[in-house]
Amino acid sequence: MKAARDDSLLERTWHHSTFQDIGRLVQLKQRKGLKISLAFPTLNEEATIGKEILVIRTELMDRYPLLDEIVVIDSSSQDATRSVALRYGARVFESKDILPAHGTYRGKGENLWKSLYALEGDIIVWVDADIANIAPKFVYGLVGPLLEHDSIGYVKAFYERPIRSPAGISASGGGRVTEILVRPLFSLFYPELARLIQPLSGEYAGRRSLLEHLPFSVGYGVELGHLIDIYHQFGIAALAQVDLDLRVHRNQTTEALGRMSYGILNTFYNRAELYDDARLLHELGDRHIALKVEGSKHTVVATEISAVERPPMIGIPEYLQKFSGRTR
Amino acid sequence: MGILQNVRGSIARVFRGLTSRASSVLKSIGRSPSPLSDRLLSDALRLAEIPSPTEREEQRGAFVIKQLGELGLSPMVDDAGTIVARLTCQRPDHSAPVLLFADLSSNRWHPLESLSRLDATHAYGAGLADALGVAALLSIAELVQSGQIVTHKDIVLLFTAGPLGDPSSDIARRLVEDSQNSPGVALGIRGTSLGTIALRPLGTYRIEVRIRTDADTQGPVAPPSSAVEVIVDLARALSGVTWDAERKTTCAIRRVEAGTGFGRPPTEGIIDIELESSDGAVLELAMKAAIATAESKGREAKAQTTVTIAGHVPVGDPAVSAGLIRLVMQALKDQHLRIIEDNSADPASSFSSLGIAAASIAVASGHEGLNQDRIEIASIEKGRRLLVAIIERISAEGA
Repeated sequence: MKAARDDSLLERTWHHSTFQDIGRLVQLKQRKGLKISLAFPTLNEEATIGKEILVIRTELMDRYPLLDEIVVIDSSSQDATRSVALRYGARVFESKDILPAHGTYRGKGENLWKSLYALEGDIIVWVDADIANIAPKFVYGLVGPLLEHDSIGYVKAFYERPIRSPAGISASGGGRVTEILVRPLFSLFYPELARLIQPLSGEYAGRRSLLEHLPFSVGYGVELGHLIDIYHQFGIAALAQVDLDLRVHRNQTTEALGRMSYGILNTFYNRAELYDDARLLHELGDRHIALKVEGSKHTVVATEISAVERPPMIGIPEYLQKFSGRTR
Repeated sequence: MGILQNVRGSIARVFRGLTSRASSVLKSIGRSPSPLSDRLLSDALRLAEIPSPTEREEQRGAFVIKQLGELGLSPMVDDAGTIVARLTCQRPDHSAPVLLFADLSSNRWHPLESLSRLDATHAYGAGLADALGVAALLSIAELVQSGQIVTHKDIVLLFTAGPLGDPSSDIARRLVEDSQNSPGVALGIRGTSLGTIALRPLGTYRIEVRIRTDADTQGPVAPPSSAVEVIVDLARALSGVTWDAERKTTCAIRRVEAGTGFGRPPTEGIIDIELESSDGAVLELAMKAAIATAESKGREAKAQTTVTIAGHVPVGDPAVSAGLIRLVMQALKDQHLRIIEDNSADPASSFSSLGIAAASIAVASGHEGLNQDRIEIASIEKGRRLLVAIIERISAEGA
C-alpha cells in the first residue's frame, strides 16, 4: 500500500487575504503581459448571476483592471439567466453555439471545456453562478497564486460551506461528497491529493497552457478529473489552494448528491484505468440506481448520467487555429 | 469622548495624496457606461450583507475605511465607531464645508435575506435601502478624489454607527462646535424614497416601554396581571390624549407585542410609542406625560415597567434651512423628479436645531419592507445625479 508522503500542497495553501493588494496583482499581470478571463457556467441561475457579475465587474474590471473579460457560458437556461447576465455587463454565450461542429452535451464540464475556446485569457477563472455571498476575493484569491508563482498552474478554492435552507444557515454540513467519497478515494489512490481541502469546489483558476492539455468530463466528474490529470501530467507542485472564508449557496438533496457521486466515481475509474492505477474486471453499470418508496413498495429510479469525456482542447483544430499565436 | 477633539491632530493626514493604488482606482473610473451608479449599488449590496446593528458597526466601518483608503483618504474613527473623512476641494473659497452624513447601521439585517439578489430591473434584500446612503457617500468621495466634481467648498463625510437621533449620541453638536469641521450645510443621505423632502420636519421622541407582570416572585402568591391588558390599557390611554389645542402633536403606537401564545400566561409585553410634534416645547411635555402614563399604568398593574427613550430628533428649524430646501427643490425639478413633501421627523433636524441649514434626501426609489427591500436600479443613477447637482449648486450658490 502507498504511504502518504507528500505534504507540499499544504505549503501552497493560502488565505485569500495574502493576495488582497489588488493593485499589486494588476501590476504583476501587466508586467507579465497576461490576460485574465472569468467565466461563469450557468443553468437557470437568474437569482444569483446578476449580483455576481455586478460585484466582480465593478471591483475587478472597472475599478482595478485585473480581469479582461467576464463571460457567461449558458446551458440554454429556461429562466432569465442570459438577459440578466447581459444587463450587468457579461458577454454571454450559449454553450451549444460554441464549436457547434463538435456537438453539445449538457453539463458543467461541457461549458468549461467550451469556455476554453470562447475565452481570450492566458489565465482562466471559473466561478459557480449560485454563490449568494459573492465578493471580489472569490476571483483575486484564485488569481493571486498564479500571478505570484510561475510554477503553479492550477488553484482550487476552499471555504466554510454553511447549509442554506428556508430555516436559516447552519454552521456546517457542506462538502459531504468530499468527505464520504472523494477523500477516502484519494487517500487510497492519490494520498498527495487528499491534502486538498475541498477538491470538488466549483471555483478554480488555471493557466491556459495547462488547461488546454486536460480532458474534460462533461458532467459531475470534471473537478476530480482535472485533479488526477494534473497530478499525473504536471505533478503535485502545479496545484495550490486558497481559503475564501465562507461560501453560501443552495444545498443539494441527498438524492442529488447520490447522482453526483455516481458521476464522480465514473470519472475516477476512467482516470484510474487510463493511468494504470487500477483495472476494472468488467464493464460498469450505465445507470445510477435510486430507490423510491411508493406505499409499502420500493421502485427503481434509473438515471442516465453522462460519462462523456471531451478531449484536450489542444487537439481541436478550430482551437489550434484561433490560438496558434500563443506561446505554450 | 470628543471624536473631533481626539482626532484633530490627525486632520492634516486626511488628504494624504493619492497612492499608486488610489491612482489605479481613479484612472479606471469611466470605463463602464454608468460606473459610479453600478459601483454605488455594488457597494450597497456588499454592505448590506454585513451584520448589523452592532454597537460600533466595526465590520461595516472597516468596509468604508477600506474603500476610502483606496481613494487616498485617511478617515478618522472615534470610539463610538463614527467615521469622518474630509474631501479637500481644489479651488477653495475658504467657507465652511458641506457635510454629507449617512447611517452605517440597519435594524433589518438578516443572515439570509440580506444576501441580496438582482434581476434586470430591481435589487432585493433585507436592509438594502439602509446601505444605499453610505454607498452614495462613497460614490461622492470617488467623484471628488478623481476630480469629476470641482467644488469650492470642502466636503466632510460623516458615517454614524447608529441613527443620528440616538439619545446617547451628541455627534451633531460636537461637529457643529468643531472649529475646523463645523459645516455650513448638512445633507443627510438615505436609501428611499427619491424626491421626498421634509419642508417643516417634525420632532420626534421614540419611547419603548417594557412590561413584566411576574417580576415580583417574593410577594404573595397571586396570578400576575395580564401583560396584554396592561399594554392595551396604556395604548388606549395614550391614544385618547389631545396633546395641544392646535393638534400639532400626535402619538402613534408603532409596535405592540405581548404574551407568548396559547397556554401560557402573558406576563411580558412591549410597546413602541412615537410622539411627533412641530412644537419643541409641547414635544418635551408630551414625552414626559407619556413616560409618566406608562409608569402609572405599570404601577396600577403591579408590573415591572422599563421605559427607554430609543430615539429623539428635535423639531427642525425651517427658517434656518429655507435656502437649502429651495436649492434642493430646484435640483429635484432640474432632474425631472417628482417632489413629495413628507414632514415626518428628519435626522437633519439635529443640525438645523443647532443653526445649520440641513435637509435629507434619498438616492433611490423602491419599497422598504419588513423582510425585504425592493430597489429600482435605474433610479439609483437619478439619485446619484441629484446628489451631485445639489453639491454643485451649494458650491456655486451657497445655501
